[in-house]
Amino acid sequence: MIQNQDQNRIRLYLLGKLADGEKEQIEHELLANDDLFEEVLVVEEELVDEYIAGALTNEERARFELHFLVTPERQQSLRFAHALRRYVTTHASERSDVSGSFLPGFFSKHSRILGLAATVVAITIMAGALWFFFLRQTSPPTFATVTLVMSPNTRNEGVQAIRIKPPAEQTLRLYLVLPNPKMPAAGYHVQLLDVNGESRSLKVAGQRNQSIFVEIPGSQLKRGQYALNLSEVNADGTEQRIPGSYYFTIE
Amino acid sequence: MKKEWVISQEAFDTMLDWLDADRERAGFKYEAIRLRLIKIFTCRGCQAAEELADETINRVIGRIVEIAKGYRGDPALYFYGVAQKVYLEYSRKARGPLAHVPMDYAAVSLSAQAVVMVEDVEPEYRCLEHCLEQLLPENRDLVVRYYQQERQAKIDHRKMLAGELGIAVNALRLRAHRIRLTLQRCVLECLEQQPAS
Repeated sequence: MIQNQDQNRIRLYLLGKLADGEKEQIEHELLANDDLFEEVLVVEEELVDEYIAGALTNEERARFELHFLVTPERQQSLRFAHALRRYVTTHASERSDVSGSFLPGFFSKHSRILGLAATVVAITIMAGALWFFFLRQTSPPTFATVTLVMSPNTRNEGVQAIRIKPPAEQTLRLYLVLPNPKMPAAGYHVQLLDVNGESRSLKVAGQRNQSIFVEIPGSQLKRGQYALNLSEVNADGTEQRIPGSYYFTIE
Repeated sequence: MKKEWVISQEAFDTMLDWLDADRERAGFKYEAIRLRLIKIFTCRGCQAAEELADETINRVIGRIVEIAKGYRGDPALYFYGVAQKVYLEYSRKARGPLAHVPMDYAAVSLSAQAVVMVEDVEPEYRCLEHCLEQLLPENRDLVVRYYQQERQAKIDHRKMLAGELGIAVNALRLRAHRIRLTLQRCVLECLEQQPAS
């Protein structure tokens, strides 16, 4: 039987965090123990799901991208997991609507008051169904996620920017690793600059562990190089620019 | 590194006999070892994991007569020893361990090796819908329910679901995994059948 500590060990193994001796130990077991092999497959799936959900720490995310996603099979697993997540997100709400649809029939067999209540419920369900119909027209947004680390350079010359190919219908979620996470500011302001010198402010969509993230619809990004400048927002509302930039290139 | 191995049926049969006296069980063990070798090479960051697993097996078969005579212990572990050597040769050729992750995380991203995964999954989604229709309704329902929610809510939700089904959370986890595996295989087959765009 697989214990929690085995699950943790497997997780570290898959992220390339085990020392050579421990790695060989787990590989030995993997060959000889059917349960452990299946557990490796399960933990792999869980890692992929956590990656998509943005639930990995910065270090895990980096290891996942550099160590785990190295083979076409695993990249295919990631694509499958994205599709599954989209399906589940859509159909979880469908399930709750369906379970509600049995109520009118039940109530109509009882008093007129309950019949009236059933009518109200039916109208609510119809309204819900209409809402759901329109909701389905716009499927839940899917994200292409990238983690960026600040470059101390103030110009992009010599910086090897990460290249991204976001499809137009997707939103690009950029995780910006904070340069000084031990001393977090009251807030952050992010500015996006393109090669033509045009800039615009981006709303910080969230903060997690040692990074913040911003989201940009793929349709708003043209090909070319971009830089993100980060400013700390103090409690009194004043801003202080943090030297350096996050660079990326849209292909 | 890759040699053109010529494996005789006789040598292959000797290897099967070495794995198990019962031919059916031997075949099963052979498949299990091959799958696990592929997984190990994958986990070590090898792009050609399948090829390396086959290379390992071919090397064992190439010396099977002497191995079968002299080696005592679980044959799977002998394969592992050979796999280690195959990996060493492969990584030497690829100049150092593959997908090496520097310990200093901050140094990682600007090395510009970060894999950027962009998820245009429309073909997968269409295939997934098709494959879900082929599942038993209770399995389809389980998949949707198992994979909903996030973080703590997900943990609580899965406990509740396991309670509803009268099984332990880990048993539910394995059940969901097996259904997912079936689905993933179905989606892959479906994608292969689609015309290339």
